[in-house]
Amino acid sequence: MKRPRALQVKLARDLWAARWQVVTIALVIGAAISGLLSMVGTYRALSGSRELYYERTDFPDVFVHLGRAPEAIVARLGAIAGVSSVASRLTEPAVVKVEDMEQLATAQVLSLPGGSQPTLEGLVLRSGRNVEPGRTGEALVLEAFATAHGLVPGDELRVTFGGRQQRVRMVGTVLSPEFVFSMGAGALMPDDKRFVALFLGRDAVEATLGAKGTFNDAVLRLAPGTDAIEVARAVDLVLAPFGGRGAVVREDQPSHRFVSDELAQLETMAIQIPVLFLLVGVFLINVVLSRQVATQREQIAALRALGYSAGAVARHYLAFVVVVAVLGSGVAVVAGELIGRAFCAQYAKFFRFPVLAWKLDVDLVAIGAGAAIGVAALGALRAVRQAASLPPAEAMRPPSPARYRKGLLSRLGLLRLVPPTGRMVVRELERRPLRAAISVLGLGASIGLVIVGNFTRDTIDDLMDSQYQRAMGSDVTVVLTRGASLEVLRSALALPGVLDVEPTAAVPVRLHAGHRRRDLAITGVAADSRLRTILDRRGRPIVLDRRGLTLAVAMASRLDVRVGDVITVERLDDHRTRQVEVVALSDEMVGRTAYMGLTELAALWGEEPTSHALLLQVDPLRLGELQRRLATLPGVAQVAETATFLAAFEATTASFSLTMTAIVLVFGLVIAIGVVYNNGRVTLAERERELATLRVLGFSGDEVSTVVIGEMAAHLVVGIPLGLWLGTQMADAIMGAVDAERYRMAATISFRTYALAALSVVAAAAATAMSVARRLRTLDPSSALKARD
Amino acid sequence: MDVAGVAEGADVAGGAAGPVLLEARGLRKVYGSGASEVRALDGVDFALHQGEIVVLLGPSGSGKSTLLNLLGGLDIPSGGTIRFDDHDLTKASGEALTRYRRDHVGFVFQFYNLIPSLTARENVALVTDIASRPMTPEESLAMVGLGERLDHFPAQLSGGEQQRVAIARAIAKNPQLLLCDEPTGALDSHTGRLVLGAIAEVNRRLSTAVAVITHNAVIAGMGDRVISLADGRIVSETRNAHRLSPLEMSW
Ligand SMILES: Nc1ncnc2c1ncn2[C@@H]1O[C@H](COP(=O)(O)OP(=O)(O)O)[C@@H](O)[C@H]1O
Ligand SMILES: [Mg+2]
Repeated sequence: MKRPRALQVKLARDLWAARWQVVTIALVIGAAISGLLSMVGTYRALSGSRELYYERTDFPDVFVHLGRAPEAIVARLGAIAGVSSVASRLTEPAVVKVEDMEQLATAQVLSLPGGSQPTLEGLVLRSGRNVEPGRTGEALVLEAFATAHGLVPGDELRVTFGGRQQRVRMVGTVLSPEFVFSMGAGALMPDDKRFVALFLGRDAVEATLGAKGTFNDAVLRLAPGTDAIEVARAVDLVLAPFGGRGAVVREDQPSHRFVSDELAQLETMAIQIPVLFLLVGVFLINVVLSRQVATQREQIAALRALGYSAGAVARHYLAFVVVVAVLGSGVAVVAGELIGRAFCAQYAKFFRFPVLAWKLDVDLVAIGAGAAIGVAALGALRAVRQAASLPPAEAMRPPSPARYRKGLLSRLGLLRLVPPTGRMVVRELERRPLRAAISVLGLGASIGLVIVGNFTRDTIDDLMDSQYQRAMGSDVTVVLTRGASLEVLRSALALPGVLDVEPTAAVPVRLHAGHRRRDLAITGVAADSRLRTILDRRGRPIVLDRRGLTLAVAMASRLDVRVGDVITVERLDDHRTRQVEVVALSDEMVGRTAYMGLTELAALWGEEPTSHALLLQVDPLRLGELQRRLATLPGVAQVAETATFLAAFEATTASFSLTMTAIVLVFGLVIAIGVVYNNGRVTLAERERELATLRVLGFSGDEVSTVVIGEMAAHLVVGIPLGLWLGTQMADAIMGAVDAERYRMAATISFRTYALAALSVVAAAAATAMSVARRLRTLDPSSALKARD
Repeated sequence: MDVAGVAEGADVAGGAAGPVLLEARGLRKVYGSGASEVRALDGVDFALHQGEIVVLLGPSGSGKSTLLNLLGGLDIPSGGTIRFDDHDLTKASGEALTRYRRDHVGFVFQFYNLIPSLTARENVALVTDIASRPMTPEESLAMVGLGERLDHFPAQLSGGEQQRVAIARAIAKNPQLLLCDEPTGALDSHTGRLVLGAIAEVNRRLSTAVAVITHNAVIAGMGDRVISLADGRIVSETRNAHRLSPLEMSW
């Protein structure tokens, strides 16, 4: 075996001597790169799976829903320039009763493509078989729903749609790219137990709806390079006479959009978090290596005198940080693999792809390792340059005392109030403001990270409170199969357990403001509503007693309108238009929202008030009885229970945010420990003699420790508020990555989270500072005064 | 006093030793500028012959280290020329100076400048790793009487032993030139004599040209020639009739 060169031996011994510094910095870099690997890897897995899935199922480019049109119209859609194929279908909201659940599940019935010869086009069969032609009682069911209820092919469901209840046999389970992320109307999170898409043969749906030879929904596939928006406009023109609800391009398709939003959020974090970490890494390497070079001044001079070139010396010190970076990359590959797997497993609970395979790409690892080495080199730049340019002759003399001057605090005379050890702390801060600033920034970053890891919980809690418990006072929402006169209220009050009932209406419209337009449904709510409170941005209730429209803040900003502006409202079913004034702005989580008084909304179109859904307040003890009763009523399209909805929402989000919280908390503490430990060790090394002198002068070990701990405390005092601010900014940026129009969740951060972030970092910092300061107490006063060798 | 004349005389008188190895003319070194300007060397002529020992004597601050640094290629003069063999060191690049130090010069410093994280053997190996015709670290350490302490770290060695490791490190490359800056400055007199003995032994066995800096006049006896510096100038030069063995000296 070849003997290692002496300089390599020195490198190994230097690394070993500084092992805790090496380890803590490698961990910081490892955390940064593992964040990058896991998040970018997850991003790739998600977008790659989606891409593959779309390709395999030939996911459509344009979607349109309409009142009803004769099948012959399909040919006119197909004739639009750029359209390569059109598939018409019938779809209808439904409710489903399954054995193992008392409540009704919300469903969407869709007819399978292929007319009377149903095909699986656009679907992925997961178990069982396709519906057989001519058999009306068969259905395919979304796999997630079947799994949640333990259904297997052959099981029966009771389905109510089009006002008729029927039994269908589940013959197979499927995945649909339209339901990668599937939610019932008005839901915020997928709930596999309570929402399902059912696929029936076209004949069966036609028979139930009495819709032979017609369609009410279509999906279009376009030739490559076609402008989907242009096609959507043309589709709207063709379908205008048939109650076309406004064609939706792929980007606005709910499931697609949700996945895209998640990807955007992931992208934001995949950059933000690693960059923050790497900045801290640059700083730590800079501080530690600069110290190393300063300590080894005489050694460097000797090496130069012995005939080592400046380049050889530079490479020697560069190798030190490259080892740190390589160690960090090793940590990153292992941690990134584990975290990425965990992320993908979590996403697989929300996003139903045929395959969502985590894979750590080689190029990503290379990028990560490259980034680690690059960052290490960047951090080392100053120190390496110093080492290489050290004139060998000059270095033979010991360094002159470091230059201190009286800074602002001293000059203001404030320092007279401080004991001498305190003055040493202040002078050190004044002397190395950049180092202090970066250390403060590092501590701030770790606090910010802990906040980022926790704020999703707070935001969801807040949502539960404000948006639902306050704004939605009702316990149960019953969606009717068709609009009913207000007479229905009386029969609803007669249902078991119902204490109060209110009507709501929904009118699909297109809003025009100048050249801007948006499609949504105006919700009509009773002017004196007790069960539905609409709040403005300051949390005050809005009373819908004024003529005019109340718009969600996000919608108003998209349309660029203010209170007092008049906009054009076009009905999507018959295209009549009205001019309506915007009278108030409401604070909504779902941006595509507009309200009017119920009677006002009907009067606008010269109609009698009708109710499309009922808000019920229910005696909790009789909820089950009510549910069973509702399940037998054919006029009921959907039943949503606020409490179970909330519980389901919490359960799904909680498991996800828990994984995230744990990972980010560990990351945050890694940074805090890295910053405090390395800063402490460097301070100690730089000032060992000075501190030993204090011991000789009669200061106790504790008093001397305050010089080191005091410096850290000073950094923390500034770092904590900075971190709280930084965390708030990052949380806002992450929530801001979601399109406000679809889904507005202002980041909410609770006092508990702020406290947790500050305290955990303070605890980590304190423990680390103590361990460093312990060395001071064992410092032999006399040894440190001897000439150094 | 005619400094140049003294130097010229030294050249002529150097006949006892071999040919001129290293020659400096009109050497000047100025540190700083303006009011804080220090003339560390102010017109020094100096020659070193193969196989001889020259002792540079002078009070602290007289420019001894500055001269040695220039001769060893650690620094660049403000004026004058230095020739080594056929090479003009004053015109050499940093790279060429590095090669000069690597191939031809051995340094011994007052504070040893050992690498504390390397053992005695490894400290010497630093040089044998890069030199073109080195001896082995073991041979070199044996020559200074440390054949038994190969694997000790500097912290486990006495001051004198550390300085002898430094000498071993300096001679392991078989240098033509051994430059020692106050090699006994940090040592007691007994240990100092041992260290000087090692240097004299190296000169005898390898016929290396040696320059030893000291402010201790007693040490002057070990040299073939003794050159005294004051305020950056050579003030006198004497030739010893015969060299004293370091063991015969006492201070
Ligand atoms: N890097 C330097 N910068 C400024 N002055 C220096 C430097 N090196 C040496 N000097 C000055 O040059 C003079 C000669 O120094 P030096 O050669 O070290 O003397 P000696 O080794 O004889 O004690 C002294 O006055 C010293 O202060
Ligand atoms: Mg000197």
